[in-house]
Amino acid sequence: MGYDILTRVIEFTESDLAIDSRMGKVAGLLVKEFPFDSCAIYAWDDKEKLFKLNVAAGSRKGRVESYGQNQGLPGLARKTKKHLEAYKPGPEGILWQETEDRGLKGFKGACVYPLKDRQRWYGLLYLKSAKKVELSPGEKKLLEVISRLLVSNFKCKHHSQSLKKAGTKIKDIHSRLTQAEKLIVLGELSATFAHEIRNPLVSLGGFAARLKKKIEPDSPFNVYVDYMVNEVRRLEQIINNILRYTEQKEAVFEGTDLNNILSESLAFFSEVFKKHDIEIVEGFARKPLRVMADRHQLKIAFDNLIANAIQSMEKGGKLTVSTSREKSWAVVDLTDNGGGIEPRYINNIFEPFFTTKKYGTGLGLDITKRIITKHKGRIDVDNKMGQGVTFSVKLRRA
Amino acid sequence: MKKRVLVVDDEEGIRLLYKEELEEEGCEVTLAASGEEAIEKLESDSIDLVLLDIKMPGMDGVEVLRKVKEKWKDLPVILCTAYPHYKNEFGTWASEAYIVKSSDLRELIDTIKNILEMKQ
Ligand SMILES: Nc1ncnc2c1ncn2[C@@H]1O[C@H](COP(=O)(O)OP(=O)(O)OP(=O)(O)O)[C@@H](O)[C@H]1O
Ligand SMILES: [Mg+2]
Repeated sequence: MGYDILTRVIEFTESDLAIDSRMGKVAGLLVKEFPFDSCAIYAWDDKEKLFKLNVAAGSRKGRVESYGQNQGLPGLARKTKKHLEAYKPGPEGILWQETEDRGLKGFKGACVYPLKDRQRWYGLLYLKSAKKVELSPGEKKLLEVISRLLVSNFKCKHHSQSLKKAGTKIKDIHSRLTQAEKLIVLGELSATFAHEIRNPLVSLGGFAARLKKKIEPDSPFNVYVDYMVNEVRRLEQIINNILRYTEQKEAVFEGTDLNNILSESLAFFSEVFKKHDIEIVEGFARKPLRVMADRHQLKIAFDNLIANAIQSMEKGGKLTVSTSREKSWAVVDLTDNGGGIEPRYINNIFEPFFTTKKYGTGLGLDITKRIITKHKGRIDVDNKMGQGVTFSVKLRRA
Repeated sequence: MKKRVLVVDDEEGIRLLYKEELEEEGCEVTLAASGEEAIEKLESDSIDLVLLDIKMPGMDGVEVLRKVKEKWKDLPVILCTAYPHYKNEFGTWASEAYIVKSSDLRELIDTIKNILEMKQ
């Protein structure tokens, strides 16, 4: 029977089936062809230091999902690195009791084959029988060979997993590279941008503002001129964003009060809040919230968040700004009621150039995140679709 | 007495805009379209403040600034440019102020007023 079984095992292990199904077939075969009632193949989890049930066949009695590295017969096999046989009672009956394997209840004989090579453990093959079994030397040899085949199956699985991981890593590196390329091009472009576009914009907008001064306050041309002035300001803002993005200045850290920085950011937007009918609700921590920070950069970070909130509530709304202490963190929460972010975009909003706005550059949140990261802080989003968004910034208290 | 401001910029639109705005603020304005012309004007006219663009063909703003500080040590200079990048390099060095050009002229006008008032 020996070669017969071996041929079939090889057929299974070479088949196109998923690796776990191949091993399942082998387990089934072992229960059928050997005097065992239960066959289980465990996989070794090196992180958790556990043997975890991978596939099983035969009796469900005493099926144990996992064994710790010191538990039961599998634990003993791991310790001795050897193939073990145990009978109840018998010449090796002591082994049986010693192991206190709860999976052995209802069985009279069992054996374990380590699935390992010189470098590492992959798992083990666990066979149990309700009757006493004596394996012939030929059968033992056969099980050893089958164990080896199982090891190569595990290796296969292992390699295909690391291949997959490598694939994801390459994709990640690739996307980061293209992003880096974008940035380099952008950096070169921005110098040209600044000069070639900013200068004409300055005269365009500057003269429009002069025109505004000259025409009668009730002239119908006021509308046109207002458009000119405002559109130019917006273009300038986009250029500022792009320049800021490529600038990447070194941060200068000093002890500062977060409440104070936020107040300044809010003050900066006070006219805009009025214009869009946005109510500000301040809930600042009473005492100053000291952090080590680059004031200028942090302000940019908050400006971006506030600007986004305003843009989501252009027809009016409420912006709640609160600061608090949370263990060693200083926390800033900015909550708007501008309807929130569509869930399908939620994973994209921090990407550079991602925008849903007609005139956005999509750099605001990316810049903000970079700044917060530079401060060893974190930023989280709580999105309530249909209601609004809360951006939480956490910084280490000084 | 009216203060005299020298505007140095290679862009005609900018020169005209600054001239009109500053005249409205009660200054007398002299224009120069290049670094070389700026030095000429400084030699011939008596100037109270210089508004200086950095990036110009030929003699650029940095060179002009250096000359000015050699010859007219106490003459205030405002660097006025499309680039925010230079701020660290030149901002604290020799000029009185560094302003990034914007169509909103309030910052520029305020800075000019402050500097001229302090000089009095
Ligand atoms: N408070 C908010 N409410 C709703 N959507 C938001 C909010 N903040 C960000 N978003 C979404 O995230 C996207 C990315 O924001 P980000 O600030 O990075 O770019 P932007 O605002 O579109 O452009 P920029 O800030 O460069 O002008 C926005 O286009 C918007 O869809
Ligand atoms: Mg934004």
